[in-house]
Amino acid sequence: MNYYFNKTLNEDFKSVIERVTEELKNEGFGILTEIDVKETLKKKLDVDFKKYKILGACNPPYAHKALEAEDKIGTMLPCNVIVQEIEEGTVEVAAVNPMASMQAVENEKLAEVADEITAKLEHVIEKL
Amino acid sequence: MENGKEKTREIPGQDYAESQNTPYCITRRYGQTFEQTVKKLKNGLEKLGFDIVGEFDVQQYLKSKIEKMPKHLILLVCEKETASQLITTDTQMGILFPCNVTVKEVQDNSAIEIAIEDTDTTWAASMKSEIQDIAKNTKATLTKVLDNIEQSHFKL
Repeated sequence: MNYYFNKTLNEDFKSVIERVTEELKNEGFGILTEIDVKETLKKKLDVDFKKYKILGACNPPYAHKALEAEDKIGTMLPCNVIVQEIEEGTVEVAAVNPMASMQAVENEKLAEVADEITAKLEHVIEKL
Repeated sequence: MENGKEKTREIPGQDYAESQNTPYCITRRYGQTFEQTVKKLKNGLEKLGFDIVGEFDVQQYLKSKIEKMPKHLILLVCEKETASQLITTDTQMGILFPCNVTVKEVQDNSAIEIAIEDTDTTWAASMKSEIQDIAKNTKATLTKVLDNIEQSHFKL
């Protein structure tokens, strides 16, 4: 099982970020954390890297259900969505596949939550 | 201030409401206050070269849903050289990092539990063997943080 769903778009980086944010919102996800990998690598290591952002997305009712099912699942939250520029005007979006990333957790209740969240994230990618 | 009391305080074991089988994380419990534990954890992470790139206060986030939500903080941590190595080896690895380290209250603040993501398991989704080596090293380094918190506790 692949650990992510992805799609490549012919758009500029900034507008893809806006669309991803909007589609996530439509599925009930807020963005809790945003890591600008390009900026961080430049600042910390003086390395030039492509435009690359990691968005940490979370859906409160599902986060609640997940934590009730598995109290230590915080070590795997939030769900990441990455946006990276392959070349100018070509941007790839990839969202984690929680069914794959959480398969190490043997918990049926959590698997149900992961299944529903997986469908929502897959939908986000499809709609782009 | 409360150190004398904390040393004699018994740290409860897991109860049945808690996850028992957790190959995706390594946990340890401490008889200190939540705030002390967070402070020591952050210092310990910093000493080992980790940056805290994000903080997610779960109690605050879910307080409208759960009235008696225990204190629960998720730290997103990253070591820059490792992050750079991961992302240049497998460009999709941003999906699986940063590493999570969580701190939460267990049973009325009688103990604080720290859980670190076991990267050996959670990064196994990437099929690249170089990633597996980095994952093993990261796990070993993060586990040191758990030991260091205990040591600094005894010194006090």
